[in-house]
Amino acid sequence: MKFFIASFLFATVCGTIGCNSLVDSAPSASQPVLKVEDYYLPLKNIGASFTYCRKTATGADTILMTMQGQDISGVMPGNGMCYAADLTKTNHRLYDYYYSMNDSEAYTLGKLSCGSTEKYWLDLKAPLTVGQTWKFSNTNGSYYLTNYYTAKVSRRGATMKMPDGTIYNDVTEVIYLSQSGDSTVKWFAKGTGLIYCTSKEPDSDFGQEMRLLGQN
Amino acid sequence: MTSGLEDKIIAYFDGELSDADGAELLHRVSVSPEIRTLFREHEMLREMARESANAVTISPEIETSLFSRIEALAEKPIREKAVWVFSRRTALVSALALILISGSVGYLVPKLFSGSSQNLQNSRSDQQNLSSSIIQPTPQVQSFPNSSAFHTNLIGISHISEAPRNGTPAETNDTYSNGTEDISVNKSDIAIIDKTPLMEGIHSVAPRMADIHSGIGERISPFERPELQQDSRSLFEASLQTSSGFTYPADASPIKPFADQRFSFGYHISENNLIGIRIASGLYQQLGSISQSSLGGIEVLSRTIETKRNFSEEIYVSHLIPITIAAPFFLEFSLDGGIIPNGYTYGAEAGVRIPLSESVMFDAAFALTRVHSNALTSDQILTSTNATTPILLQSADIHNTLNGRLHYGLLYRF
Repeated sequence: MKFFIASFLFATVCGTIGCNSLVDSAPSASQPVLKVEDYYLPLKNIGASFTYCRKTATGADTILMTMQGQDISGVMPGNGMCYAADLTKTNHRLYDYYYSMNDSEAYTLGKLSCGSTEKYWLDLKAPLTVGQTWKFSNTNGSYYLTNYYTAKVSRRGATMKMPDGTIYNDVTEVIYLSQSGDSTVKWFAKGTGLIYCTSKEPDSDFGQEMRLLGQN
Repeated sequence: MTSGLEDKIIAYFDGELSDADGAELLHRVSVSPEIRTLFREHEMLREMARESANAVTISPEIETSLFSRIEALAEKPIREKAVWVFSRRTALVSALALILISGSVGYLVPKLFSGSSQNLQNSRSDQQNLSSSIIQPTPQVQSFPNSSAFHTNLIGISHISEAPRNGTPAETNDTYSNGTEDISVNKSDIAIIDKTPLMEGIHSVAPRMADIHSGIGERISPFERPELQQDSRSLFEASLQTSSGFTYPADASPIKPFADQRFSFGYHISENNLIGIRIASGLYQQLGSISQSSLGGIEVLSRTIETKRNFSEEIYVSHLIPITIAAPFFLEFSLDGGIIPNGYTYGAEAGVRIPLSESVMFDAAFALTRVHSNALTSDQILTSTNATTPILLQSADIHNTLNGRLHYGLLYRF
């Protein structure tokens, strides 16, 4: 009897204390993300570089994006800090690209400067949870036309495998739709940032497809 | 001569014959075929009366009336503490009440025990109120031989009818014996019982207790008090239980009361240790099948986690600890393991068994079970899939869950 009771108590204690090892953790998709920085490019990490494969209507090329850190322009609207990234195309420097980010929002400013945004694009907005939507607009460089976009978080906590075999966990998928018919989808991996993007917008700076090849 | 011989035979079976007369009678039986035939006829008559008596039952009303008269005659109205045995009706009502209460408290374990405790007290109260269905314990019976009035009236009753009370313990059965035979009572018989007339013409007899083999008292219920309990002949038990509870981590709402059902069949290795098998229909959280689609030029694989109803087959071992706190009951500790479709389970549970009648118990237990699913992991799926475009897999990837269940139901031991 003592052996039986001891075994029972041992099993119960193990089951209670070691509950996390006995069972799998709850899906991360059920928890909203309040800090979007974890899913965005490491803009603060000066020198960090990402290599992307970009496909446009005219062809494919490889772009090296190197983080330059906080831009001298300082604080942006909404207490967002402006950050710059250097874009290089195979031994040929293209231009600086500007971003802004705070805890709740991360967006693209374009290639002009922190003070002059011609391609404002609100990539992420907290809380990140499936079904969350937000709206933004931009002129896309036009003086006469304004595009209105609606973004929606369609997946959270997914796993993505690239054609080279690299697997990214905890991926968030966001779909951007405009009244003009543009349909852009971006996938952001936690701890990495943008890993894949497709777009029907012919004038997109990132082409119709942009895929992360590697990072340093 | 025959009449005188028959009187001697009757006296012999009644135990009234002296040893010398008995020896003489047996000698005559051995040498005379006619006397032997007559002797056997009386012997068979006694046996038939005894067998027919076993099929007779006494209604609670008659039993109540009889006890009240016995108490009045014996001038000992105080009843001893009742044994924890209910009538069928009381047992049924108590069982339904316990199940409903357990179901309503659901998976709130702390309330379970307070509810069980309350039920225990209520059952105790019911037991005391329903004295008509309670069997008197031994101490009261032992006081009867000291009362000549009691003896004489019982004998008077035995002359009216010969049908013993059925379904009572041996001690109680002795109370109705006139020495060699069981005694039956029906309503009309009770009606003519009167103290004074029956006292007349009654002669005391020396009972031959050793000859009484009713077969009723030989079986000791395993549900009686532990101190009275000896080795039981009920080696098997079957139980039907339903349950409610929770699953962790969960994607669905808590398992509602009466959601799961399980049937258990156990064999008692010893009085307090048993092994058994179990078939259950339960709700298990498992990974579903993979669906495939495309979005933005990539391949999307989706797999959701679903709460499915499946059958499980388990084996279990249990240990019982008999405890008496105001009333006898059992603590129960079990370990179990089994299989489900594409997976397996193992767990432990602790509970309580509350006797409702000689063979039926209310059984409630709280179980923690780890459920493992053998479905492919996300990495396994992605590794086995190759494409020229990115592949997105949306899957909860939960293979190990913990089921907490409060099981409650009835148990029958046989």
